[in-house]
Amino acid sequence: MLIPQLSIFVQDKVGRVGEICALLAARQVNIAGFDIADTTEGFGILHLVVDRTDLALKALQEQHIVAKNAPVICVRLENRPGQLARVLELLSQAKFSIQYMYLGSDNNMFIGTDRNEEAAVLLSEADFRMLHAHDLVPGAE
Amino acid sequence: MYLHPDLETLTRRDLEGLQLERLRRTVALAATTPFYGPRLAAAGIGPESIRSLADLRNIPLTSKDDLRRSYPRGMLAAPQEDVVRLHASSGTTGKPTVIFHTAHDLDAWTGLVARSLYAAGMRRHDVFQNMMTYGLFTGGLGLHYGAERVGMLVIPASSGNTRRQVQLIQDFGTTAVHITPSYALHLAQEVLQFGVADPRELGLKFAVMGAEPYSVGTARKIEAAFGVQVFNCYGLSEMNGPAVAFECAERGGMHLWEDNFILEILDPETLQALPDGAKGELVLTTVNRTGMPILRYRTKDLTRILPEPCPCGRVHRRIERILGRTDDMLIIGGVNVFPSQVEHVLMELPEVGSTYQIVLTKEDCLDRMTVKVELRDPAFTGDLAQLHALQKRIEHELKSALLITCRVKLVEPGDIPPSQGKAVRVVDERGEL
Repeated sequence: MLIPQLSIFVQDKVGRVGEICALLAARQVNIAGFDIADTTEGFGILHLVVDRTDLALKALQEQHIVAKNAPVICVRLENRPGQLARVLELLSQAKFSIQYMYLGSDNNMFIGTDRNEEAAVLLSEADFRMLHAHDLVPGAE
Repeated sequence: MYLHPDLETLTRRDLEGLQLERLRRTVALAATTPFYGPRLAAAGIGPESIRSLADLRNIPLTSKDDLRRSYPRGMLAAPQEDVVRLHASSGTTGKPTVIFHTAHDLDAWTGLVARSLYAAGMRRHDVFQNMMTYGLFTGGLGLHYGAERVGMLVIPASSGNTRRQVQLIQDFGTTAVHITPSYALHLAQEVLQFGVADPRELGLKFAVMGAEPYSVGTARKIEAAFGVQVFNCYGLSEMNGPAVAFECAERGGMHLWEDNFILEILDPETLQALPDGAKGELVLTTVNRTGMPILRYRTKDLTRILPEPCPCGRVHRRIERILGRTDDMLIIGGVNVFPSQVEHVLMELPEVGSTYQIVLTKEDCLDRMTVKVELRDPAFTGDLAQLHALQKRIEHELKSALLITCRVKLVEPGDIPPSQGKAVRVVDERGEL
């Protein structure tokens, strides 16, 4: 019930994130979610949810970029008050620790927790719409 | 003006006579050790084959590698019960080098330190604050006992903690300090924070500075800041520690105490002897040490002998301030660091490649070491917390191996240019000290 996500180690360097995006653009990879976790230590982690994860991962690794597929929860939120609050309430009641979260296209909320599989089951049982890998493939909707 | 007039102002002929007699005794003693015994026998050398000082050149050279290979007791010439202290330095690949001292050796070393401080002008009414690290490092205890022998009040402050250093100076009327040049510059800046408007108000008169190479310009800058006279001090733990050579009140080069050491300057490539005045590698032989005599030790320090007699009247020849190294040793905050030590630590960590770069910078006048290491793809889980933990672990491992704190910076593979020796592995942005 998780979707693939690219987790990419990036150094603080002018233009580095742009280079990575250009590399993916050249392979016609579409980005559906994007987040940077920055540190004060001179590096950060770039999270990307894309339509063709395997192809993107291969393209990155060919350029010796350190990247992994780190699956993440993706929940489609309805566009009305209280949706996000409810998701967070459920997760906190069940004592999940949220490591990062970011919003992508189409109201897709990406959430990384300490126990992703279990958290996805919990949200699904609460009738939230959980996205799957094939939902992100072009033309799937 | 001389603490040991008989040993400081004897004639060259008498000094060389003393050296020859002591060299013969040293060779006889060294021949009893597991390291030198077979080596001297193979070279056909015994005390009887040393007929003149020139015969010293037939003795094979000793390197730091030899010290490491004979660790811990291969060069020990005295029975264990006669050894009263050891000092050690961190090794280049994890194994340290150790020097043993008998009571005689400590007495002789203390005498050299006392003679040096006295030559600079310090007397029993002075108060000596030793701001060097106490411990296995020789800068703490070495100067400590020598200053006591002069009769000064000695404050074993050790390094760091600027607030306490300032308080000790003010409360006890310190007149002399033993300090690294970088810490002196740092202190000059920091005293303002502690209510001292001008470092000259501290009332210091003498600053003994060693452990790091520094220029005449830096010495003059520190003198102007504190209103002190700076005295350059040379030493290395293999040859006791500080006060192998020391500046007298003339401050025109460091007298190398030739009654305790025989000095040679060799071409570091051909290993041929160079005439006085030519720049080369300093090679030293202990001639007044009974615990662990060392013959013809390659210091890897570059200097030259100043051939002109010193106006002070001492017979001991002077060497110029250290002009560089023949190896890749770095001096960081007064601590000797070899890039190979860093490499050795990184090789034990599968998460990072063995490609690294050491970047040296200055922060508030103090040395700062950053080690850039490349993260290896298989070790990456995509987790930020993992990277932080890895970074801290490498910093911890480096600190225990190098004995200094450094910062680790994780970089992407390929960020560090392929290593082609020292030039790429070490980026020194500290500027001249």
